[in-house]
Amino acid sequence: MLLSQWTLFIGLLFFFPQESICLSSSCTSLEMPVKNDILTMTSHNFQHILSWKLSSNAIIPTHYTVSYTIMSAYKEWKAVEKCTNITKSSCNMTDIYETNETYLTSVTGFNSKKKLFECVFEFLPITDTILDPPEVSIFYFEDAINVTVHFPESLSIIKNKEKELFSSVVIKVKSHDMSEQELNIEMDDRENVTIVIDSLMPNSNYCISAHWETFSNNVPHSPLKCFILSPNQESESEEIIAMPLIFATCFIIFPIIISVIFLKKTEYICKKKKHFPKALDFPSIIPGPLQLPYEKVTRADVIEKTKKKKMFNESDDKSDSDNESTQKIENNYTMNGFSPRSLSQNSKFTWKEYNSNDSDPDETESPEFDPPATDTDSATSYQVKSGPDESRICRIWSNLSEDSNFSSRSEDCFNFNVNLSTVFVGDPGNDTTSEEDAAQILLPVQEEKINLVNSDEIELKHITHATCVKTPLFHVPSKDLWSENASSDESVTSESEVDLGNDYIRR
Amino acid sequence: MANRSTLQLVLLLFFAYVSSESYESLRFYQRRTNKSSIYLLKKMIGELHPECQKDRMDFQIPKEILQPKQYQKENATMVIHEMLQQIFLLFSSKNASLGVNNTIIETFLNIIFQQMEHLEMALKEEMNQVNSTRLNEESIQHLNNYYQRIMNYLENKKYSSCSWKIVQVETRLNFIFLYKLTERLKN
Repeated sequence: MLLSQWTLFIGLLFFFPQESICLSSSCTSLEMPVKNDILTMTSHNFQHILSWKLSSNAIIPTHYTVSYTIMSAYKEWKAVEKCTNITKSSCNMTDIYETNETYLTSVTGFNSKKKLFECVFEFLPITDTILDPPEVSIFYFEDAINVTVHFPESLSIIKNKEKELFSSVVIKVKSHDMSEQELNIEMDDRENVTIVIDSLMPNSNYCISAHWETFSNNVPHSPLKCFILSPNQESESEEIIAMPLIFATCFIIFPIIISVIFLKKTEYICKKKKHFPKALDFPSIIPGPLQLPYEKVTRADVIEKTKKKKMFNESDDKSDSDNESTQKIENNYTMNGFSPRSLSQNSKFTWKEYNSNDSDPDETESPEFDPPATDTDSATSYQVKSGPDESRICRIWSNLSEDSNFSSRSEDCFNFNVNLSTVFVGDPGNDTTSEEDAAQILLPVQEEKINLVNSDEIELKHITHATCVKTPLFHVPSKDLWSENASSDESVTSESEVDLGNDYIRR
Repeated sequence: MANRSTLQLVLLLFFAYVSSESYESLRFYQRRTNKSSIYLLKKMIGELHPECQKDRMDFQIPKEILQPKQYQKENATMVIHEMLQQIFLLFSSKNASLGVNNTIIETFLNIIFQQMEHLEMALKEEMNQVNSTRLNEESIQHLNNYYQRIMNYLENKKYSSCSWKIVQVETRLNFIFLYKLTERLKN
């Protein structure tokens, strides 16, 4: 396709026929050197314009006279009336010349009455004039083309006078392999003639041109019209004219658009004013160490204290109440503790995790994990391997019933909203809570209940007052969600320990 | 009797079909050869020197050449053949190659000879059917007189180079009219 476009582009670069003939004349001069090629005859469709040009270093004549005679009889020279003693360097000979006669024409240059030079040349109009080529229209099919030849408008008068010159047209068909084929068309006094050229190769490039078959010395060809035969393609030759425009558009406009987009992207042009967040708007003068006026700095001591974990007793947990929360009011703080619950084998759990293998496009990547080793009907134990970096665990456990039509999905689980200044977390069962423990950063107990799922019921567990907490991946023990041995036996890759027993929540 | 007339009619139609096909090919061939002959004559003439102006001559070209539209295709064929024959004889005479490349003269004569052979093949098919009209005899005589005047001119000018230039210019005009006369061969 591109090759054809180039071929057409080159073909339509336009072949202008040579309309001027540099006459080989015989010049004689008396006082100045005159070359024999100073005369030029521009003959186009039997319109003859004779012109001459002298070299700059020659003596320029003041006026010129053009004369002519014929070769077929011994007749005197005759001056052209409109070109006698003229100052311009050209003469229109259209009305002087007959088509079939051989003429001798002379141009004489005078300076006052003194002859400076004289040039004579021979001219036969019917063989030396340049005729406009025929016009060609093409309509092509899959493996054949319709070629219509007709007269150009410029030959409408001449074709009636000299019919024999336009009786035959030669059509050249150039194929993709540079081979040429010539076809003769007889006009037979018709205005246009159409022929069909078949047995052409599909998907091949062809070029068509035409010229008059005449004895003229200079026979110009019509501009090349090229096309590609392709299946299911029918196109008129006029469509080819639009191809160079499309070609030029693709190679001029598109690069401009692409370059503008590139410059815009690189912000070489249309630079955007960057707006920095207000947090980075520092005062102009910052004396001493950086102190942000809107934040109060308070010294705090972190005291580490190891507490024993208590194993949650399953037998004691088979009560109807699924809420192991205990409350203890101490020091005006309401403490709620919550303990892990066991999951019955009949409960069904589904949990969504963001897995890289998951086809859901909305899900993000999740850390690698092992599939559950136990029966999938029950709560499964699993191990979550730590990723290369701390990452957020994004999963939710939901206990779904078959009747339940609720489904939830959250990016986070066990989310906590904590106001450190109002929270005290302590061990409700541990009376040995010391003042030191109380002096720790306390977590307030939310008044709202956290509904735990009853093992016999399948409800969705709502976790309210959540806040996203970034935690490293941690190892979750098998069977029970929380085990006292989790910290000791199993790999805990995070620094924090989450103990939902009757002990502390530590950070 | 009826069978004999039917056979003659069939033969007449057959020859008419063959001759029409042969005239088309003849016209196509004549057009190409006339074009070549004109080109060769231009090369013979070359630069026309001004001193040859004094040797210009009016050979009184006959109207049979100037007005080709009057002919039917059969008569046109005969006129063409006669003209080619005379030109062949003219350029076969002595000193025809004076001032001209001998190769050009030989090529020119070969083209004319082949043209005549093609015409004779077409004329043989027409010879029994075409009546020799008085028009054709007069035309042949006028042509013969025309070319005799040219021969006499050359002899008087002693076959000078300028006289040959004048004859070459005249012969080129002959072929232009031959090109136009060939168009009369179409149906």
